[in-house]
Amino acid sequence: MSHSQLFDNERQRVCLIPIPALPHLTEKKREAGVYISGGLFAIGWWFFIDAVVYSNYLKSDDDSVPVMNFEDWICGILSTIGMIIINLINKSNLTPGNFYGPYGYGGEVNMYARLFLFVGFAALAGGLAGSFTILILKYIVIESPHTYFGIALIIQNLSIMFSTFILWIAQSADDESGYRNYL
Amino acid sequence: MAGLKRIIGLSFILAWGFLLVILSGALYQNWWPLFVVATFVLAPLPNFIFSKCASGDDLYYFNEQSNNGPKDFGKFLTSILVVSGIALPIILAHIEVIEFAAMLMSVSGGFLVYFTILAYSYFFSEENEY
Repeated sequence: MSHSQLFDNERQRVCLIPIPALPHLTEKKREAGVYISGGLFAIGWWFFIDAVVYSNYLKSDDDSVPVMNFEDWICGILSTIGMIIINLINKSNLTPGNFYGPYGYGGEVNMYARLFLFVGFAALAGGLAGSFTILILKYIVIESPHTYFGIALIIQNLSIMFSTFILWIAQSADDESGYRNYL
Repeated sequence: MAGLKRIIGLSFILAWGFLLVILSGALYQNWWPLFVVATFVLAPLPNFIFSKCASGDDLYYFNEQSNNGPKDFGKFLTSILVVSGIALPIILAHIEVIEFAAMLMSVSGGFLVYFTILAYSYFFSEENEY
C-alpha cells in the first residue's frame, strides 16, 4: 500500500470519486493569493462606486436615468457579509479527526462550523443572484439603455465571490502545510 | 557605495512621481488627483502595523506560517488601498471631474511613489537582518 492510499484511508472519504486536494502553495504564492484577493475585493467595490457616482452624474442632465438606491446596495453588502462569515471560520474545525485544534475533535463544533460555512456561502450566492435579478428587472425588462449599472453590480458580486475563494484557498493551503509537518 | 547609489536613484524616482502628481493637478488648476498620493502613502501602513502581530508561538510551531491571520489581514488592506489609488482617478475621469491626461499622470505618478516606498522598505529590511 502506497503512502497516498494510507493517507486517503485516514481521511475517510465521503464520495466514491476522490475530491482533489487543495494545491500545496509555497509561502510566496500564498502571499500573492492574499494580495490578489484584496485587489479583487477592492475592484468589485470600486466598480459599484463608479456605477453610483456615474448614475448621479447622468441624472443631473437627464431625469429619466435610474438612480442607484438601497436595493442596489444590498447585494454587495450581502456578499461582503458572506465573505466575512466564511473567512471567520476556523478551518481546522471543518474536518474531523484533527486533534491539534483546541476543540477540533469532531462532533458538535464540527457541525456548527459547517453550518456557518453553509450560511456564508448562501449569503455569497444570494448576493450574486440578487445582482442578476436587479440587472434583469430594473434594466433589461423595462429596456433601459443604462445596463452598465446592472452589469457593474454583477461584476462587483463576482469579484467579491472570487476574492473569497482565492483567500480561502490561500489560507487553507497554509493550514494543510502546518498539518503535514506534524505527520 | 551601492547602497548610496540606490538611495539616490530611488529619490530621483520619488521626485519624478511627485512631479507627475503635482503636474496632473497644476496643469488643469484642478487639485482632485492629489488624493492619489494619500492612498499610495497609506498603502504600506497596514503591512507595517500587522507585521508586528505575528503569533508568539513561532518557536513552538517551528514554521512561521502557522498563525498569520493578522498579517494576511494587513496584506488584504494594503492591496485594497493600492487598487483604490488606481481606481479613484479613473472614476474621477469617468465623471469628467478631471481630464483624461490628468488621470494618466496621477496614476503613473502614484505608481512611481508606491514603487519607491516598496523598494526602499525592501532594501531597508535587507539591511536589518544583519
